[in-house]
Amino acid sequence: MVYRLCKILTLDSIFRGVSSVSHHQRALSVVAGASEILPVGEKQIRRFRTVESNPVKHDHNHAYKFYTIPLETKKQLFQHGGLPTFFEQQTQTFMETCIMIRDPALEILHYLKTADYTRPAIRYVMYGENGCGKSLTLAHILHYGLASGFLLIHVPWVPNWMRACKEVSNSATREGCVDLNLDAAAWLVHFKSQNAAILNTIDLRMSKEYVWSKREVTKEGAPLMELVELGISRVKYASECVIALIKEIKAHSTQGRCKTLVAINGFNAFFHPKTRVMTEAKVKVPPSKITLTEAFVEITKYDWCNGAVVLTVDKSGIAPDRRESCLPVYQLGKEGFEHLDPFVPICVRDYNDKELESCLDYYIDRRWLQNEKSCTEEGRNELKFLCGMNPYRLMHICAPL
Amino acid sequence: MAKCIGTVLKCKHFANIQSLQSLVPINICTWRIRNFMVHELRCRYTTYSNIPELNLENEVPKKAKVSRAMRAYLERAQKHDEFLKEQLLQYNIGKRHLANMMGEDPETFMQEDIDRAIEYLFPSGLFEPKARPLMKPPDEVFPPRKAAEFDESGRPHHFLFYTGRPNLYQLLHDLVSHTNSLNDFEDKMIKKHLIPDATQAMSTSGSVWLPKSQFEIILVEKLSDREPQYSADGRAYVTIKECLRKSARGEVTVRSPGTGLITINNKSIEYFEHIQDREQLLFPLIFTNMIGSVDVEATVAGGGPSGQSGAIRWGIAHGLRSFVTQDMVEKMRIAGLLQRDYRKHERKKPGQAGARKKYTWKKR
Repeated sequence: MVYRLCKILTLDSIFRGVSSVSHHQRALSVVAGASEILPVGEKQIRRFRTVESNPVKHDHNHAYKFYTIPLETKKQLFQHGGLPTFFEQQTQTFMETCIMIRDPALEILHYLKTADYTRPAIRYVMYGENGCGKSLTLAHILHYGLASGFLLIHVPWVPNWMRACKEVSNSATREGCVDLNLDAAAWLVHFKSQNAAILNTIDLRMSKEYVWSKREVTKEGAPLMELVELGISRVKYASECVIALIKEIKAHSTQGRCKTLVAINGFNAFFHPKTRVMTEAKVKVPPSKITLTEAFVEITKYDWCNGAVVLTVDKSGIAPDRRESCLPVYQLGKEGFEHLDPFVPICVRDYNDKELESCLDYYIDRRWLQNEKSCTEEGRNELKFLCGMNPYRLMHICAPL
Repeated sequence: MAKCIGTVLKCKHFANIQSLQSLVPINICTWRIRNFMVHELRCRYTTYSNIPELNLENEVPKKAKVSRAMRAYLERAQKHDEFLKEQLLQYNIGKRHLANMMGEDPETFMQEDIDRAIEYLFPSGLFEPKARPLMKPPDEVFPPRKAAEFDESGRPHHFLFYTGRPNLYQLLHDLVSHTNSLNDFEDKMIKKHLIPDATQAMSTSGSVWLPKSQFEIILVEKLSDREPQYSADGRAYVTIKECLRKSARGEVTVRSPGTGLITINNKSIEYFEHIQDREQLLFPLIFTNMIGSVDVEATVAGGGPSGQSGAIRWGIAHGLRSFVTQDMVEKMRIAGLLQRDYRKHERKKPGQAGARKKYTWKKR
């Protein structure tokens, strides 16, 4: 019954137009639950899936396989952003969050495991063409950070602030600077949801007193969460709270009380002078005049230890005048490069053959590819040709099938 | 004794067996053709024919009816022959004069001496050697031309005239018959239990592969590009020039064997963003099932994505003809892959909104 209904729906979608098949409609066709594996051969499942859902244990044996992120972890990590929108919709449809374990992620995980944390924090910069998997690799690394007990400082997508900010106000404390207070408060909520658990176990206290106004004071020795709560409730001081929080965490890491993982997606947006942030006088504000920038530029320096910094540079998060190349030096510009130099560049490439096969197997397993031809050799060759081995393209090409 | 005489000319052009199998069955990969056979071909085609005369009893011998075109053709051929004879005479006289000028013996004045003399008398600062003054025998200067290929009644001299390339096919025919005779000879020897003498085996160290251009000069015929050429790494390739669609102009090279690599203007298939354009490129490959077996390199300019992708699709289909069976070529033709899409942008006419669209018609 369900099958027939879904077949009618798909026919309908063909007549209406391919892109109109929404995930919601398609959800009817996915009969199985998240953990229930569909009746595919045992060996085939082992080919593209792995049961190991703890990223700490991921290594080259699990390469090119999908692992599932448990639901609670996903909520904790990505409730306020972190996964790309289309991928998020896909997880709703498939009723599970599966990420492929790929080479760049494995490389960074290896470095994170074997790094000397008594030395200054190492900066890893991921770069690649659009749709190659930088955000999802970052998500994988974030999961690893959570599983290994890192304190997470995660900015899901910097261009959200630079090009789609919610509210702009003039900074009270800094001359000529501008605050993005709503965004800062939203980020603090995100920080809280990610780190509440670990901050309960590790007791971190403020190292000095912060005076916000006559009546609001954060005393020395107060727990860090108090600062976060203040920033969320008093949106006026949210940006300053963020800066204070970051500086505190840096100090705590250096003293060895906690280890920190900084993950920022679209870091190059902090250094590109063209933003869409405008003051009331309709004057465009460069990132150097935005208070939030200072916080994250601060944490990505190498003057602290017991931490790691994983960044991505993305050309799609920037004004169209700097989209010729996806390479980090070009995207960061002179200022950005001088700030980040030296860093470890990591290239995120298109799918290779094995990864593509794995991905197609996964889609077939999830009943995403409904067309009979997609299971055949010929169909696979066609898909391989059309997507040009780009993961994002493959996802979109398979959507109407 | 199975033995070939003398140094030979190999023709690289024929290393692809498939192109020949449609014509004549062949057993072995390489052929060695005898030098004198090519020479024979040359001689055969530079002699002039005689007009046939009808022998009738008690009647004046009548000439066969000749059409005007035929006559003109025969006249042209005769003129060319005479022209060459005259040029040869001039050359020989000039040679003797030159020898006198240089103070050398005219009898023993060779081509190298001529070259040196010309270089001395007409020093040239031009970079291109072909642009400098030269004095060579007329055969080398004027491109070889075929003499009259048919007689006055229109009957061709060569039995393979109607193939369009009689010299080429004559050569192939001779090669095959010679190969077959050698095979028969070998069979006879084997029957008699005779082993070929190892010391008298032919060595091919003196022979050389001819490129297509030189081969064309020998045969005095143009060879088609449909037969694949071979690149340095031994892969066959075909270049289709003039791939046109709308305003797009392109050139496509199909290489086999390949891994399915597509390059357009030095970019991958990402050059085309829209899936429709990518599907256009996919169509010929998936139709012939050659999707992972050939590499495609295309350069295209002009027009928009639709025109460019259409041009490359046509190019790929045309290139694939050389790597695919005749049946499949026929199927491609029926599928419309080999048809040039001649549709162009229609111009807007005055008094109308577009090419066909009219302005609102008002009754009054």
